[in-house]
Amino acid sequence: MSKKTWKVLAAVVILVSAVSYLAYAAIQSGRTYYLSVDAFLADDNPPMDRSARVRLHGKVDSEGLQADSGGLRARFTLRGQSKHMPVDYRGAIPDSFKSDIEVVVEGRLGEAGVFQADTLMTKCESKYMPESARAKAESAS
Amino acid sequence: MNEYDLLGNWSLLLALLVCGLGAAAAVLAAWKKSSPLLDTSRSAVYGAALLLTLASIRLLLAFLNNEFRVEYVASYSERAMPVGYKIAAFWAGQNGSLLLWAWLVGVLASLAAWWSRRDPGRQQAVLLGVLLVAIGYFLALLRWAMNPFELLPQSPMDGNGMNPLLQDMAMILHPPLLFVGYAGYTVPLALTAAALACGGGLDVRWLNRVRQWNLASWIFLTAGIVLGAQWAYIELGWGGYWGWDPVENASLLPWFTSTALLHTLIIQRYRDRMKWWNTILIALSFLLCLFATYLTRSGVIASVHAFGQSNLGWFFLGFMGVALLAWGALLGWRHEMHRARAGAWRLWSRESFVWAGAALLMLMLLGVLVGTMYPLISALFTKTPITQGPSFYNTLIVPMGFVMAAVMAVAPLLPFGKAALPPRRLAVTLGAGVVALLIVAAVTLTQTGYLAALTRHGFQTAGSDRLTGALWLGGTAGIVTVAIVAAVWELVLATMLGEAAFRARLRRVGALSAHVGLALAVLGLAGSAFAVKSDTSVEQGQSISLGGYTLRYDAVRMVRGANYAALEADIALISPDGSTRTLRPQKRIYHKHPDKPNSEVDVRSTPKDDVYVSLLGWDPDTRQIGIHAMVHPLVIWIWLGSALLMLAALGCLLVVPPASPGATTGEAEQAQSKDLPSAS
Repeated sequence: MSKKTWKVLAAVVILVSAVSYLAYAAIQSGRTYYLSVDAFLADDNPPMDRSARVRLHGKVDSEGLQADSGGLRARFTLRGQSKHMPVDYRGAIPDSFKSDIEVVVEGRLGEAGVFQADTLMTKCESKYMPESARAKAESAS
Repeated sequence: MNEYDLLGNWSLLLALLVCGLGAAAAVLAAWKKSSPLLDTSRSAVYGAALLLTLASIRLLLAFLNNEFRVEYVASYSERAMPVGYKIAAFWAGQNGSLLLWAWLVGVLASLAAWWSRRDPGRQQAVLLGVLLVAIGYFLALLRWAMNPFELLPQSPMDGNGMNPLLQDMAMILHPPLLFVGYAGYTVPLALTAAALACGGGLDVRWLNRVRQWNLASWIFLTAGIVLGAQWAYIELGWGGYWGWDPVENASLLPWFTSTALLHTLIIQRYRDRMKWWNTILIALSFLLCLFATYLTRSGVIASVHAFGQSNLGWFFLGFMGVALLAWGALLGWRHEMHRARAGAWRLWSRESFVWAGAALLMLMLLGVLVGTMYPLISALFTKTPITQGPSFYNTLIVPMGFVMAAVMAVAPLLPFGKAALPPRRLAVTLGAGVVALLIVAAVTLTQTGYLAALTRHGFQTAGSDRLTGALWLGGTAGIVTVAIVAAVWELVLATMLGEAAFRARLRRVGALSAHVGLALAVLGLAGSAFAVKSDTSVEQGQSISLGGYTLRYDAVRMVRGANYAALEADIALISPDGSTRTLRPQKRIYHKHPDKPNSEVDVRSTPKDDVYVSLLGWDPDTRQIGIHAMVHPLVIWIWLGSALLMLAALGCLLVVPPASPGATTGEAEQAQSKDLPSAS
């Protein structure tokens, strides 16, 4: 092979390995399991360590919601289809947070089975889904 | 039958019929070379646009007259809402935004049909046919999958009203801007199909038209994305402008291809190369708008925004599949029209750098796509879906974006083809960039205390994130400097060279100013590496210090607005130099939405940094307030840079390139492109 071909080949190898490394590092750093409360608590579930950082989705139970009026801490029960779990969230409470809405929490399972969350997101479903469609989706599930 | 059927549903159905007949007429016109049929087909485009306008007016009237029997109106409007918001509620949900999108496709298609009415017959027929199929697709979607005219069994007394978060000027303009961009990408697709199918080829006429449509759509899309980011910053109350949410990512996908296309078209114009890139990017820009909508609206990805489960998926996937196959067949059939200039690429040439920039944009697109679809991709391998959070994008997309910005700054300095490099210009421009890099990095390292920590504790404990942050900031400052020097140099040349070259130079000044704008925006993004925040409870008179500032909680009170009551806090902001001003964040409760409090943040913005305070709550027992405070350097440059980017792009849109390459005599690159075979 000519000198030029070698040069091009070397450049390609370097670029491809740089991008692959970036992609690998990115996938490792950003990955979080995303599952429902039920799936997380299911006995046969954990392919991962129970104490790993996870993202859970569920509904805020209508009972037992204690939101600090200072707006920096909320304790509530995250409810799935059949299972539920207490959550202790520390951080700024989003405006749209209230009982009976779908939320996503991120954090780890702490001692005594209380989920210690540091991220709380509400799904702004009202934005894209009319009430009746939501009712349909709920009755279907 | 009811009144909604007449103007709403029947307009849509009739429009669909018109599209079908028009498309059939276009096929016949191409086959029989009949000009009356061609006129019929063109009229069908106008007719469909008119009928879509009628349907849109009907929905608008339903909003203005509080016709809550229409489910869509009941879901997003209410009696007490101001008229402006009632109009905006038109696109507050997915069915209405689809109607808006379809209407825009109809209007823009009519413009395209009008402007090409003197084209050769066959070419027009294909153009009209493609436009009519696209409009027809949207009509079918509207009629059978997302009908905004669905009725409720009985009319409720009042509607649900619009989410208070959306009651904001930026949010009112954001969706229409995005949809103008989305709709605009239909036209380059149709123009290209016409050019390829009828043997007209990818000539300069085609180039100019595609450039104009793509650039105009790009400006709208960019404006929509930036406005969305600004809305998130001000309205959501967490102090961020971009969360890498699937809905945000979706709008970015066509932006990547469209941005690449803006530049690869230039390479085709002056170097007769990258034709495959162009025809593929044109199709991707169109398809990614649909794909983005599919991803976010069909519920395949559980985004924070989109939560609907629906059968929309097949509507989108089916059409995209057919469109992709048709495009592949067309390109395969007309592959000889993609024949480009032969010969080696020189590394230090404009076209190599544009190619690299386009390739980087495609890699970024792939990265964002993989990140967004990760829950789906991971489901193939594990039982539990895995999502990718912001750190995925920060690790992967941000470095690529940085390299892309550097490529962008350097590319315009290089000549096309094998022409000699301009040594003086390169030395001055790049030299200025390196100097800026070193100064900014050094200042940042000193100011953040990294150097002190380094000399005292050694490399290990000095904090590598401060070092990378400083390099980030220095690097972007270097890029900004290179872009500014290049633009100023071009401006000086333009004024010195006189009349003949002025116009062509002016276009280059526009393009280079757009680069300055983007570089400034990237600088603003780099500032986020130094953002500091604090979520705390404070007592009256107590202070917190953050990023060199002191924030003192002085007072809290109740205030009343027209349709809300609010808790308002006085927070004294004391700058390092001792000057003081008061920030007044509020927590509003709108009368109609007692369960949806809305944070009204207060921001003090300077070129150096933003101080951002939002009031989280007030505890009457402990007499403490909760605040979310943030010192975010350089944010203002994101908005200023984006504004410059769009203004400069608008300038480029107004200075149309000449119809034949020969007319640009005096432009530097002409010297090298004279030996080109004419593309037409």
